Amino acid sequence: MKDKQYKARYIKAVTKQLPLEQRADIELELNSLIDEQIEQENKSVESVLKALGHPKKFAQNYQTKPRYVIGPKSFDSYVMVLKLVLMIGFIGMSIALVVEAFMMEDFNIGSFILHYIGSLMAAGWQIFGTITLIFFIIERFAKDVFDEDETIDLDELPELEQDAPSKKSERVFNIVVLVIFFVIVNVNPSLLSVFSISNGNVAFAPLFDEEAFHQAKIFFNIAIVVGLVRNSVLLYFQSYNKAYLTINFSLLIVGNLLLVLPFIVFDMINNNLNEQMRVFGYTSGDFDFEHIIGLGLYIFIIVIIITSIIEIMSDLKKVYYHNPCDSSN
Amino acid sequence: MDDLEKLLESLKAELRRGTLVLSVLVALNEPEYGYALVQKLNDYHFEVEGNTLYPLLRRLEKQGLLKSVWKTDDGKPKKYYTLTSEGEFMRDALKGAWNETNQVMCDLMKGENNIER
Repeated sequence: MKDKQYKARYIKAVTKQLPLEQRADIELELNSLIDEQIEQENKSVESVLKALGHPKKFAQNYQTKPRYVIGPKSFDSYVMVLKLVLMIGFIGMSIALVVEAFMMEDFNIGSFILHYIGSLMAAGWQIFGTITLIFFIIERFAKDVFDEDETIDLDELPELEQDAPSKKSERVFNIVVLVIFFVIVNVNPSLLSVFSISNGNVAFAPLFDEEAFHQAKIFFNIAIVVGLVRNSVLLYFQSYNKAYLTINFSLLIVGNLLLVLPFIVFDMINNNLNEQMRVFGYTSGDFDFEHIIGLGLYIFIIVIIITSIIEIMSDLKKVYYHNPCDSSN
Repeated sequence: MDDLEKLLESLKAELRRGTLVLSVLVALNEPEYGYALVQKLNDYHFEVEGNTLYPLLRRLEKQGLLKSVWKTDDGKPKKYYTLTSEGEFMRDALKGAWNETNQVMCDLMKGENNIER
């Protein structure tokens, strides 16, 4: 009696995972298989069922439809479209939210930041869900769309210099950013402020304490010069080697230390910022805007440290793989 | 079982998986039901489990290579499978492909090179 129940329960466990129209047929077939094995091989129900394996795995063998949401053929396109739409969505949302903020009468920076983060997260989930759903539908009903032409166009192969350590575009971009930073620090530090436009008059509240910023300037300037030297020198390296590694590491560490040091040594944040934010009408009550800026700086320092570590580790790995026989690396 | 033995078992299973369809098509030279087919293959030392063979038979039937009919022997219903004409064509084509592969593998293992360059 118990054996009969085990057999029936096993068959049920297999067939319940299969399409309805196949169940009766497969149930009969499994009954026949199990009975034959018991009779012909003189085995117990238990040993036969155990030999057949887990019902879930048995049922999976009957599945002919793919059991994934996004298939391997479409995965690259999916990731590319998702990144593109997320980027466009975030930029669009940011512009819309900033415009909306400017039009608000009782603007409050604290609630704006919360609203901004909440809106971006909601939009992100919606974009993710929609793109995934579209690709899922294409995967199920029109997956030929992703059948690639397998003929190779040799001109489309990646350029060799893309693997060189000094990607020119990246270095040039870094140099341009450093020059802009130099101009802001030395010519127009007031750009590092919060602005208020009221009745055609522009007022600004500097993010940083004037005296502390003046003291920090020398650190920033040396950091910029070190950064410019580093990016200019690295432009001329065509392969990963020990000299590249030494120059990149030493200048990267010195430059980033000089950039971060003033924020650790000096009390950089403008002590009147909270008051000025209230005067501008951006915050109200006890909202601590200085704390938010402090938090931002803290995150900035952590990002600098993490990106430096990632760059160093990544370069170490690349130097090793480009010179596997050179133990001096 | 150490890692090397596990790897060997999985590679052997992979080899067998590649020959499973051809083995079934060849073994079905007369109508057979699932369990009898398992036995027949096992008699030739081609080990296959019911949980692999039964879903495969159904898949081959769906692809039009097999057809099936329920018969009652000794009061027990059994599903008999036979090759369709497409199944026979596929069996012969796969046999040809197998012979070619077998020849290539034999030459390769003997270290002979019959490739004309």
